Amino acid sequence: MLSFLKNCWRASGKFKFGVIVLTFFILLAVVAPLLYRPIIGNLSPARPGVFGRWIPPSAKHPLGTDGHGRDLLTDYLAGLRTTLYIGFLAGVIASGVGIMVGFLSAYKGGWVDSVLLTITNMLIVIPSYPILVAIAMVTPELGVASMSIILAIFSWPFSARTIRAQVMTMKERPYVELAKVSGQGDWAIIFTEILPNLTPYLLMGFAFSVVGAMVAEVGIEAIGLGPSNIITLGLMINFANGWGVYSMGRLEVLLIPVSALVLIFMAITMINRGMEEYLNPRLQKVTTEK
Amino acid sequence: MRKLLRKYPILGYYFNKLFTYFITIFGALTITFFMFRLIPTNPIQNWVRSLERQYSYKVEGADAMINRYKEEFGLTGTLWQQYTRYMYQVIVKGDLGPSFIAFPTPVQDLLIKAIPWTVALLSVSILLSWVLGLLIGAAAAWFRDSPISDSITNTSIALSQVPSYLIALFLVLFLGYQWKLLPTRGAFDGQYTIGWNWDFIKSVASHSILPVMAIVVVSLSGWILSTRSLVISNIGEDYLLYAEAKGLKPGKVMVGYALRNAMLPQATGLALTLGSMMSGQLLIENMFVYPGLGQVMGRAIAIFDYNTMMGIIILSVVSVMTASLIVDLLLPAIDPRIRTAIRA
Amino acid sequence: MSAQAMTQTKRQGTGDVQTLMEIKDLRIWYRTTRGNAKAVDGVDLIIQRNEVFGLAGESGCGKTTLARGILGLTKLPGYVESGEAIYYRRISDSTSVGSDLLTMPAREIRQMRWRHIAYIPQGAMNVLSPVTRIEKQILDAIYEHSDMSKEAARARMFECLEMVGLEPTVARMYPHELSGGMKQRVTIAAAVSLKPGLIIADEPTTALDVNVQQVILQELKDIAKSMELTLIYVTHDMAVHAEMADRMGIMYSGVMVEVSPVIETFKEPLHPYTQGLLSSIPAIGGDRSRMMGIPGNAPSPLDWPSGCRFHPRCPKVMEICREQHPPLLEVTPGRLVACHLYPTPISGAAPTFEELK
Repeated sequence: MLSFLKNCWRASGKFKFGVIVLTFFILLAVVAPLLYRPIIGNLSPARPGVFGRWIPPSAKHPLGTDGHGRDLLTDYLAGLRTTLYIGFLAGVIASGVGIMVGFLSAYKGGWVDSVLLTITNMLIVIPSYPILVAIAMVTPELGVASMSIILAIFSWPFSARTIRAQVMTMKERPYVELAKVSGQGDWAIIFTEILPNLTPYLLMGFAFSVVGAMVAEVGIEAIGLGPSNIITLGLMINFANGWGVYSMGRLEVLLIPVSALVLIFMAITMINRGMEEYLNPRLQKVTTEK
Repeated sequence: MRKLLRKYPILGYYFNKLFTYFITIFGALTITFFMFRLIPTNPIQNWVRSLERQYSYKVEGADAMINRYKEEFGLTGTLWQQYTRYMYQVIVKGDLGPSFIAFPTPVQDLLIKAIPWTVALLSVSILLSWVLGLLIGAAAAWFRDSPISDSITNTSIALSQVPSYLIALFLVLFLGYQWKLLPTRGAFDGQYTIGWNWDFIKSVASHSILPVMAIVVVSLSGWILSTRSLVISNIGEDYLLYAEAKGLKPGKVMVGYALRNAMLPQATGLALTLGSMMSGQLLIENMFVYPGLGQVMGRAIAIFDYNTMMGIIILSVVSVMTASLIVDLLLPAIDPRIRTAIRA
Repeated sequence: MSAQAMTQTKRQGTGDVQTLMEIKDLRIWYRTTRGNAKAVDGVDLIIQRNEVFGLAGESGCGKTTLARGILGLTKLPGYVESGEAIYYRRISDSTSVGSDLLTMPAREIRQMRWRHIAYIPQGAMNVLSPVTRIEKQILDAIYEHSDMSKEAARARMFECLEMVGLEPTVARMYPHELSGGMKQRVTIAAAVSLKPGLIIADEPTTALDVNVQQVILQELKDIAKSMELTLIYVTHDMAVHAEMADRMGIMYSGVMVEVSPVIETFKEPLHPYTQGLLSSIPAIGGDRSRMMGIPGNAPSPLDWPSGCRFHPRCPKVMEICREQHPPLLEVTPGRLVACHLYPTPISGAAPTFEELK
């Protein structure tokens, strides 16, 4: 897998861009507490009323404070951290389930496949957004873990479908047949032949799940229908809108979380496309082998 | 029966698809039903309480009222009983029940009033983005080494990632407030009468420009990117090389060969996207206060109107599945390869 | 010495008007993350009118890159690094005018394609669009390059189908309904539909059964002769060249190493590589002699060996072979070889290509 990633890096400018930007944000999220502890000490970042409201940017508050008396820099850093965490967690769960289901479905075939496929389709067909909103509305105090699970419930089918499609084409590949003929057991085949070739798709699927989860989360938060006890970037957008920052002339309060989100989404998409470029030789501007 | 199948193997294909169709719809509805009912909330009680708070008096016989409503909405009995009752009601009698948001108006009536608006808005947006997306995407793929193509691609990547409500937000901010060019609320000006008169039509049109733009910007990017990917993956295909070797004009190669081969999945995608129209655009419609399904859904969610929510979801599920079914049924007719594969 | 004079040393045949195409020092490289893969690296070639020219060489020596490159079909990550491919169009019995295919504007090259230079690609299975009927795939080129009416074009199409032994009913079919051999014949029919001056056929029969191969080869040869067109036939199969070609050029590691009439090549191969190639063909009947083959592996285009590219595998290697790349010289009338074993061209004092670089 490592060599795959290295090759992607070498082969694709998009990949480089994506990785750099994403790493920047991840690092920022990881060290976030170090950055905001000096400002708010040991208090929870979500706690309102600690500082005065709408203080313009100053040395003590590099970005000023918001309408609830919270330091904005802290808001953003904590929000970034949480949003990425939710996305990551939801992505892991969704991919995990999706991969298992998709794999099983494709590998076993027959009625197992039909049943799993139908279940997968059932979930895909349900419009997830209204349901997510409904759930979010009724549970005002949602934890990060619960939120991730709920988001994952609706995105695993997509992962499952892609993996299934991939494994199905692989099943027919000559090297699998060769392995079967030479008497390798099922598990051995899975681990030595199929999985290594599946890695790029697993990664891409994971990336899609993460983005999907984050978009859904932002979607719910941004219109104020989500839990307001934990700060996320989506929530910041909602607040910014509600406070009417546009007319207050402090548009950056809205623009910062929006740009951060857009950049993160773009970075992950670029990573995906970079991997795609590497895998599909016809998309390449530069090849890795001849 | 078997003889029939052997003679016309395509019948087997059709039966299969139909069977899956019904099972999937049924399953999806079941899952949704239980999801909603399992959420720990008591909408009627909440409503009554909020009434009490609002009008600050204790309603005598509040309990009786609650019970009566429960009956109306079929919320009595065990979960299983509720389920069977509801399913029977919907499938056999075709009745979606009374709505809560506009009690006692039946859900059907609410939906029927809202559907035309949603359909109008979304079909225009979807078709527009599809056609443009396909053409631009194919061109971007064909001329993929040019700077114009690259910038189109990158812009599309960026735009497709921005959630549509944010685009809508910016559109409203700038075109609506800042420059006061276009109206931002409602589907038409209240002063005009509904009907086929010019004023009304003009009003509807101007009110729909912003919502359509918001939707188109994002989905257009999506179509451009997917078409481009598809065409590019076909580009290395030898038949495109051959078409080029024949000295055909790039336009002809692009449309006649590249696009035509990419059309199939994209046409499928179009059908499915059209099918998903029915869930309404929850965000966009609410943002623009547009009287479509999305708005109805929004109101329904606010007080947890089970019947309306389920009604819209049923509509949505059925329409997506039907679109998918139509595609599956038509596929043999369109793609000559599938015809042969089925015969085999 | 000027480039003009140098060209004269390389010229064969009976004079200007007989030359159909001149390829001069053509280099087509591929960009890779590890540097440039020099698939075609200094190819010089002259093709005469009305001949069947066989382009031979192992897989990976650059033949297909060359074939596509001539037609201007090189795609990223491949690109033309330098060189010319001059096509001479006949304007009268004694004059022709040449233009470089590689630097032509796109519109002109499109007009040249099919009408003057047609292409029969490798693997006809993939070359026909699966969602379009056969007739459309032949007719579209005809409409593009001529003013024929619909009826005339259709008539021509059926004529060509008949020429390759296909029923007229094939026209309305889709590619997947045809067998491999039939698809290949369709590509041949399409190629001859506009009576081009040159057809480039890239391993058209490699994927087919031997029997079908035989039939198609014969058809192709008959068509080429009867329509008086030039055919460049690319394949690694020496036996095919023996049957089809008038002259053949052996390609190795991106350059031409021997160019001679077919009979003489087989009777008396000059270049050690050619000798190796021919000795790898087992002879049916006759004595059972050892199969010689060629030791070693084909080198990588990312890193061609120094000097003569064949030197690591050459049984007759000398000191100079490691250091200097041998130029392609005419050592007997009509035969060119790039090997230090044959250092003097017949025109005596002509300087080598190397010295001019």
